[in-house]
Amino acid sequence: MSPRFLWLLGLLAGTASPLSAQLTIQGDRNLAFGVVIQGVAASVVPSDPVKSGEFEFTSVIGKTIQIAFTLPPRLNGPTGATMPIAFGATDAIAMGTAPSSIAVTFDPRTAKQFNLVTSARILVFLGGRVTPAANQRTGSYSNTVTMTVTVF
Amino acid sequence: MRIALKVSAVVLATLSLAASAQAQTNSANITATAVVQQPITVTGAVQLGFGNVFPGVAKSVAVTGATAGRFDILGQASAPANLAFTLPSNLTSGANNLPIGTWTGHVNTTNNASTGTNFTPSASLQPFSFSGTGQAFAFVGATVTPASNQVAGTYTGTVTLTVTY
Amino acid sequence: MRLPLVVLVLASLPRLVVAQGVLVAPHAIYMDHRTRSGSITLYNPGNDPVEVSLSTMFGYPITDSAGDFQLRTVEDPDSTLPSAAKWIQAFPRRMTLGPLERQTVRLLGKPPAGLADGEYWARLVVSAKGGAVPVSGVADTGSIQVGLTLEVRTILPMLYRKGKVTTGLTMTGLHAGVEHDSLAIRAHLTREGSAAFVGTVAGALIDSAGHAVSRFKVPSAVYLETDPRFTMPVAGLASGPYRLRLEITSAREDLPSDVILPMPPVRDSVEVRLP
Repeated sequence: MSPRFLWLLGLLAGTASPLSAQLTIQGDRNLAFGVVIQGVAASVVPSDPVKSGEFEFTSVIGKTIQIAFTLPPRLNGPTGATMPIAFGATDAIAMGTAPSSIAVTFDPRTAKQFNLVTSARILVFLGGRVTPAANQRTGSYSNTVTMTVTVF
Repeated sequence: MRIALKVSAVVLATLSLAASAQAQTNSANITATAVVQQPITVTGAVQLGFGNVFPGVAKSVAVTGATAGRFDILGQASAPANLAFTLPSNLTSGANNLPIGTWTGHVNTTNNASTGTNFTPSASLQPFSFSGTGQAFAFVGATVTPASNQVAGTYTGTVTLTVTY
Repeated sequence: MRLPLVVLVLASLPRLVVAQGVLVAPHAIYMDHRTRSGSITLYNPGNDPVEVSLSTMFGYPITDSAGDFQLRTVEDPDSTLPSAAKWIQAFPRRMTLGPLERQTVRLLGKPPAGLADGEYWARLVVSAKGGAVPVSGVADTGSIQVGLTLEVRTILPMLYRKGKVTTGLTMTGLHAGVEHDSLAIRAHLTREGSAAFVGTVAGALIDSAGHAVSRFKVPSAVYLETDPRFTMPVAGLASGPYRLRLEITSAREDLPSDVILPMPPVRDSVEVRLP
């Protein structure tokens, strides 16, 4: 095999990587309810610039993608205590980073498909609502929210 | 060179086919967090109501009466605390006074003005303890003494409850 | 024609739930010299706007001769008292909270230069006043109407810590006696270390077989020294000798663990006889 052919194969190997990795995704910011008070429900709207959860992913313009969340029904607290967390029909926003992109509000409880028309990089914001009981154990509560993106 | 180009074309086509035939999935996590704090709440829950008031006729509302004032206090279970009152001696309507006094009080861990502790509301601290569920209720009664020539009008005043935790 | 309606409405007012007040969290505020800041959350649970104002004062809990908790306030504390009242400020200090509205209030410590290590105390006074209370009385009965506005104040502890602080407790003079259907327990508690003791007092009455037949557990704080009185129910218990065990620990479920100062448990016991 000639050196030039080997070089070409190497180049192909190099291009194979971005082709197979048409999707990068990361969590950028936790969904932080902050201080909540026993007996008083607290909400975070997805447009909250500080408290809303934030993910981002990058794919390829022209692709159809699907966003699905794995949402916890409760947050886990001290010594086994739990606190309900709920998500509503308008608790997620997807927004492309291109200047012409339009934010789309959707229900994080069901998978949502998008066509990437103008932006390859998409930001996804998540809100929610916690409902501490009147006798909710004090302390810190947390749980994991997973966003899964599928590129078709 | 020609062979190399042919091979590369085949490889590219294969990679493209693989990419389009298989949906690619990726995930990321964030954490939902909250910090629960216990509050203290003092609420003026029910107005002390005197209903009909007539000139020259004193009218009293007992702490057990249907129109006694009530403050609801929520705090830490079983915790000791204090309450104190700042009370008017007159209700006013412009320059006119309507005497109010003979204040009575009752504090209880349940919403019941009979089974707790009677006290005389004043600026002095009245100790109490929250219930096992963090509740306490304070009831107040008083007597208004309109003069026989009491000028008609709307007489108002402020009752202040201070809870020290 | 409108009068009957007015009378009907006014007559129904006395039992209206006016719900004037404010919810304050947390119920104890801890600040650290590193951040010199803290916050509280205010929430109006009612249906009407509430005017809220905040101020600070100096005070610390003591007990009276009956063992009941009191607040000793000092208007102008001297240098022997660890007051932070003059240099902790709340922002904002006045606000109007709409129905079901929340507000975070920032607390900022501006201690004097050269502040020595230790714990400094203040009390936060949160005053809440609702709008005008509906006037009670009936309009056609001599036109004397009476209305009382309800104002509520909540006084909360604030503790500002600089450097390493410690706490401890000694208990002396534990004794108990039967009062009606309860056992009244008294002890003298003296704080050690450089910070207020904040913890829990738990008692158990042990019968001759070693079983706990009555218990109590109450949150407690000792800033300097106190002579508190605790009670536990003894109605229905057989007469005879029992042992009262008292244990004081720094455990508190209502406060964040990082503000709790650890302390070895303090225990004592005394024999009591039920009639």
